[in-house]
Amino acid sequence: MFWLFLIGSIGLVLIGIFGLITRSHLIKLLLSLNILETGINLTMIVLGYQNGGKVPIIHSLLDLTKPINFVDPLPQALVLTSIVIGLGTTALALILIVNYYYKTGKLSLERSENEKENIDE
Amino acid sequence: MNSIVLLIVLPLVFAFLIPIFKGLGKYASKIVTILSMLTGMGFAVYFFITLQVPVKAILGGWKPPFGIVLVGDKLSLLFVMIIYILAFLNLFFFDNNFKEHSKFYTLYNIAIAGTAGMILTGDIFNMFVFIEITGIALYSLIAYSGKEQALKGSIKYLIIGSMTSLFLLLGVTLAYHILGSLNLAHISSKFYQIPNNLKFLILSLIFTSFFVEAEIFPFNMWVPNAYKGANIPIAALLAGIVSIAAGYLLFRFRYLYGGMRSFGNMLVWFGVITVVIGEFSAYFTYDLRKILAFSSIGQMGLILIAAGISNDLSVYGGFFQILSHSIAKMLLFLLAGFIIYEAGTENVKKMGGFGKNHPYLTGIFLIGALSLAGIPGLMGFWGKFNIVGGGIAAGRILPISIVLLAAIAESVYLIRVVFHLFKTDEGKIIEKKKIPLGYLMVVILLSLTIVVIGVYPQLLNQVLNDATKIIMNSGSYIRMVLG
Amino acid sequence: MITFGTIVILGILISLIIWLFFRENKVISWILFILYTGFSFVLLLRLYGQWQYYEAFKSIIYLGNIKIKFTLQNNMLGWIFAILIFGISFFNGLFSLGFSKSKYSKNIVPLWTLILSASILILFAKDFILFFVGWEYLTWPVFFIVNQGKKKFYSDSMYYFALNVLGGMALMLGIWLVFKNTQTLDIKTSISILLSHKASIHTFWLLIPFFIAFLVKSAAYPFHVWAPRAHSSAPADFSPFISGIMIKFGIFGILLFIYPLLSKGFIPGTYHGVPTTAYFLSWLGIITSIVATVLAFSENNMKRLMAYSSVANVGYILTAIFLTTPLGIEGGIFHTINHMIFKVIIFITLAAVYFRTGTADMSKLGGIAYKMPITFMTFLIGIIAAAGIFPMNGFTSKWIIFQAILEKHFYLMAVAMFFASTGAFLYLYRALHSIFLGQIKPEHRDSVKEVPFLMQIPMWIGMILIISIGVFPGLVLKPLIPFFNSIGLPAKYILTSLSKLPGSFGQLNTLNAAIIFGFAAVLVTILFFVVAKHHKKPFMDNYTAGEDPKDWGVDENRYQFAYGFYQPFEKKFLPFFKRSVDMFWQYFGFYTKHLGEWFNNIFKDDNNFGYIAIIGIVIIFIFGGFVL
Repeated sequence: MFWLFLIGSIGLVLIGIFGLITRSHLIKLLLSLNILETGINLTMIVLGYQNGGKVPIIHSLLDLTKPINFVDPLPQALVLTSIVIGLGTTALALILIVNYYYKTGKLSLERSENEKENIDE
Repeated sequence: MNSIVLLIVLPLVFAFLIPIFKGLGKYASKIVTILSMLTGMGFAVYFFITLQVPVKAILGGWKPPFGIVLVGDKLSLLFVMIIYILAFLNLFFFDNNFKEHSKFYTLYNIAIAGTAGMILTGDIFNMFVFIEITGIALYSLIAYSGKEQALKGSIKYLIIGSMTSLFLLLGVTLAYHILGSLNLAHISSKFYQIPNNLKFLILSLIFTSFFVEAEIFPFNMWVPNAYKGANIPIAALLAGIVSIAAGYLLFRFRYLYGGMRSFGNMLVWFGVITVVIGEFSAYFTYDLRKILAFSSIGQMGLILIAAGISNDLSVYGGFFQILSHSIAKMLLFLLAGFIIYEAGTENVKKMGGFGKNHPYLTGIFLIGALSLAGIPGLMGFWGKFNIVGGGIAAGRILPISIVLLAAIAESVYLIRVVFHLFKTDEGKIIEKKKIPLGYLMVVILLSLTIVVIGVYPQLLNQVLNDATKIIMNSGSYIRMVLG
Repeated sequence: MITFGTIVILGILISLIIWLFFRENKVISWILFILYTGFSFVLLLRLYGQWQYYEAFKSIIYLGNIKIKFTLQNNMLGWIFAILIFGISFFNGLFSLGFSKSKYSKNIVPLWTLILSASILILFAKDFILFFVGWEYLTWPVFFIVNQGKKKFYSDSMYYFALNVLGGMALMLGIWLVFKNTQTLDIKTSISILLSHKASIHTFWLLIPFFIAFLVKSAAYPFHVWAPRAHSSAPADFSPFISGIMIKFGIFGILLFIYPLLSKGFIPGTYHGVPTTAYFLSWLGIITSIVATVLAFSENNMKRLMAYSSVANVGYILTAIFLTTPLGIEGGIFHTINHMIFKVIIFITLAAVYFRTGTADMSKLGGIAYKMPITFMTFLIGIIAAAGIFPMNGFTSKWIIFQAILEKHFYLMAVAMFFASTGAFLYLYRALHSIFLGQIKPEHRDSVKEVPFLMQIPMWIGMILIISIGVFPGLVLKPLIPFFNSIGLPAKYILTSLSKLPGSFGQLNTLNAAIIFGFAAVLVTILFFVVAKHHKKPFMDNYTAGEDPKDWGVDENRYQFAYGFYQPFEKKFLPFFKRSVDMFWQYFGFYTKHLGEWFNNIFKDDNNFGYIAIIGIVIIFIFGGFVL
């Protein structure tokens, strides 16, 4: 279960990286970024995960007397933050891309034919 | 003393006050920002001067290593102070393409808060958050001018920046998973326990993100676009203020990588590649903004080399280099704003006659350029000289020789710009334009700083020696934060 | 009285004041310059004999945990250089004050005083940092002086700048390499430490950066390419300074740091009693002088020609110094000083010609000897000195150098040097003939006249100095006796009277020789006026020796052979000597630029940012040993 989880999330990371390398369409790049993000978030969850672990909530004082296999809650909190930041970034990226599209009529960063080639000799 | 929180909170508060005040007039938001920077500067200077022993601000009442902690020692407070001073001075920029709008100032405040946070935080997850805050503010600020180049740079920066900060997050989680802590001091106290390759993995995941902020070669594809397209104050912000924070992080993490020869090697060679590519690219181009952008890349490469060598001499030189680079580069960008406006072009070759119209301004440009080129008597010399010395003392003669060869190209293209400004036999005569007074004062102040510290480096000796000791001696930091 | 500090700070202040307030007023600038150099000269003069005198900065500078207290220490070698520099600059300033009326004059005073300040730091620095500070300030101001803000001079000045920055960077590397091995930045101390444990150091590599730095500055082969370019582009009244003084700083550096190491066998291996490295460097000096001599044949620009002559003389000096014998170093230093004097004088006369005619092309000049008699006389005496003919000062030092070579039985070296020395006759005579003799150009007939008295002062002084040092070499060598004692010159080589020139083959009494020479000269003059039947002819009368001028393709306006004067030589030597080295540096710049373009294109391609960053991460992992 643990390994499946880990391999799956790393697979997502690799898919994201593959997309970032091969695509030039901006929306696809952004999607790749989001896939990468999901993969990394899942990896982080995996790292805090314990096989057969319990919810890290203390129900009674009895729990404190014996060792319990808790799932680490902190990575999940971190992932929550990361998801929020990722949302913000994605929204901003979309706005930038839309602006870029209005400005140039393109959805990739390629240099257009009529773009004034500057100054450099 | 919890009040160093103010250094992060103040600009944030002002940032969100700006939308309230913006109706008061065209310049209301600018004035609010100036106020914000002035108060921040005041607090930073006050904290720095009155600082006897390092202070930490424990947030949320959880003592370290559990809670969030801000650490104010001689080093971090010095850097925050300089960030505030430069951010304040940067507001007197000159850019004829700039459109006043309250959004700009909100984002500006947020960016400053983010950089201050990056420096002050003693907790690596919060560092991630602050990097993201700074990053998001910067993506928007770069795109603020609305030019195609700026949008390109912004999108590139966003994608590379988000990608690498995700790696950073992964590194942070790995460190947490293995060592059970997010606190830098706590991690560094236990870091020796884990095997070397795992150390390397964690550090490289973390450093990819620093590399983006520090404009290190494979991660700096956004730099020329961003500097070319963005408004002048943003270019100055990137070169002068963000680079301080990035350089700071490179050195602060010596607590983790210090003594790791393989990681030091990696940093040195990435630095060398960055220096070579930055300097030679700048040597090729004649676009003033791109020259400055590539020059920034080269200088940051040198700082990375200093971090990689990380002995006494090079850390000391590295701090000098961070400060001198940010001051000189901010000066040059501020000047570039006016030069481009008056010459009506960004092509260096067509700027002849500017020197005749404004000899003093061009002289100040010369000071900045020579400081970047590492001419003695100016601030940049001490940084470069010490980094070279540190590198050779550490036995890294080959990388240092390559850097020195690249530095020839650097001297040549910088002095070439000044030559083209001063040259007199240009057919076209540039119309003389008036210089705003505030702008002039700021430019003179920055150039005087460069000269005075260059001639009399003792002014910074004590402070930077303390800073070097803080970096070289992780034990006292750990005791201070955890104790 | 704080001498060095005063001179340095005063120089910087004057530089600032002139740049801020008197940029447009050349007269005030030059008067300030003259006052400054004269004042400094007097201050320095008082320091003769006080070799223990030093000035230390009050505060301590920390580099990491190295503590440095900057000190300027008076020393014999530095003092003699400083005296000459400020003295020459003073007279050069007088000349420039007159020259400032011309439209070719530029206000270079602010930069020049900066250079003079820097020179004090170089000459008297006790530690390498101050030395380096001075070294860099010798470099960049000259860039702006040479190009004068003109596009056509840009590439020339860039040759100068790029090569000298290379030297500066090499120096920085060398300084820290020395520090690594000695843990000190003090020059004298580091030399003794290096000598004390030379066995454990890779000695040869340690010195290479210093060789590069000093050879670039002294314009030795293969770094000589900047010298003719810088000389020809620089303002006419600054060329004397470049030739006379700037390139001597390379010699000074060698005397200061490399010579003490080499002569004490820092690098193992000797050849006929001379350290092997030094022996090869001696040959480098010979190559420098031969190459420069051959290149000088083909030059049409008088300033470039004389620049090559300077390079050739630097070659002699290097040869002499790297013999690492006491006599060699005596000759080297003496020739350095003599060359300073006569080359400054020559360039000043060239500036005077330029002042009146506005051209530096020898093919556009000619026949102005009668119009500018004083200038002509000075130039004549200057080139006689440069050619090393008795009784001028150039002879005395070349005499010692030749003896130093022969003393070591390096006959091939002596022959090669003799070839270069003879070559000097050829090009110097050509310069004399093309500029001053022959037929005057119609456009110069009325406009050209002698320069004003103010500008003649340096020429008179120079003539007197050249001849008097030629007759009384003790004028220079006697004050240097403490220095020669300190480097261990045997007593037989030390001057006993003003006019007895020492040598390995016995002494030469220059005074007696001069008396005979003067007697002969008087005799010839008397014969000339009494016996010979001579009468004046117009220029166009018989210069073609009876041939029809039309057949030669010359006419009244084109009686000039400056073009292709030594064509056979040029055809033989030029392709090898000039093209090879010049091309090397040109291609160097060319490929640097293309490297830049290649790097730039990485940034220009807008789609690759993602995968380049990923490649970066992969490389990081390779460093970590995860991938490979």
